[in-house]
Amino acid sequence: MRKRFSRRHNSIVGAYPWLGPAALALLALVLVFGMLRILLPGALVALASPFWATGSALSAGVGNASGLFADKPSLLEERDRLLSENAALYAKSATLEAQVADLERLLGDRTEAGSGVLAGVLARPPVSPYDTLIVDQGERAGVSVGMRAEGPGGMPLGTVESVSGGSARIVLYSAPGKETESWIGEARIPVTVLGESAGAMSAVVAREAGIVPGDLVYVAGSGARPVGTVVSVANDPSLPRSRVDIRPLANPFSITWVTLVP
Amino acid sequence: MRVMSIILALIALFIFPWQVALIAVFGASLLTPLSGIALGIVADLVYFVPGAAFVPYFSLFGLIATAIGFLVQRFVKTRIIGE
Repeated sequence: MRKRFSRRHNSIVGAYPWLGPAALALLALVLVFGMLRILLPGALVALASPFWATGSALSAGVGNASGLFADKPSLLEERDRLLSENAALYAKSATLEAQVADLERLLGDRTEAGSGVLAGVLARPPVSPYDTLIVDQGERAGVSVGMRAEGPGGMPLGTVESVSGGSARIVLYSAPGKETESWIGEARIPVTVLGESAGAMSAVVAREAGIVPGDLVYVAGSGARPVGTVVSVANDPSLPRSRVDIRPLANPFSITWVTLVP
Repeated sequence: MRVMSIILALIALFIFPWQVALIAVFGASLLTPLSGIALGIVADLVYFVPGAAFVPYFSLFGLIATAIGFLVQRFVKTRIIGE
């Protein structure tokens, strides 16, 4: 006896086998994340935070483990360098302590709260794919779009591009395609620095400008704040302009705290 | 296996460097083609901001991975039926 079956009954799933429970689950996943991003961005960050923390811990663990495979002479060299650096820092610290004590005697120990919002970094490159930082302070702490993110010593890192109640997204100057008006070298030659992702940046300057590796790159604005150093200059005699590769002063892979200032 | 690959790729988006996450998403999309575009959109919902890039690259990659996933599945099915 021939088995009868309804072709119409299976017309959708039969023709499109991928349109099954898995596809519906994936659609639901996208919808859930979309609604969280639009309606409850704080919940999305809260949900992802434990995973980001695990990722940070794993990255640190991998970094420590890779140190075990470094060769002995380079480790000894590094130890010597760190010892001399430690001695220099100790001397500097002692000088600064004495200076603080002198100033406190003169002015008292009252200090004004610094401007800006201190924020912890939840996600950073390389986990974050667009050279963006996700930080744990948002509108409730006074963060707004356009604020500048600064690293240690007031070093500019990027700008706030999106804010929710309890979190914000910062686009670093090294984000792919991001253009930042800057100055380069001791002569403060104005250039447009282009983000190349993974912390790297580049610029194009006139060949006669005399830019050399080691020159500092500053973000244009009030006060020259350095963001990176020139690592290489492509000097092609046939071209009037040279491409300059820039390395950031702060490693974006290890930024843990930022200060957000208007 | 399919569900596991999707879960692993989803977790990779938050834990591992994005290059590793891309590989995981691609792997998942070979088993379940639609997971490529779905996970790509999820990644962009989490990380993308308009000033960060010209286009949401993860979604674009997910779309390509999905297309490849469908092609591979079709090829595999043809081979199985042809044998």
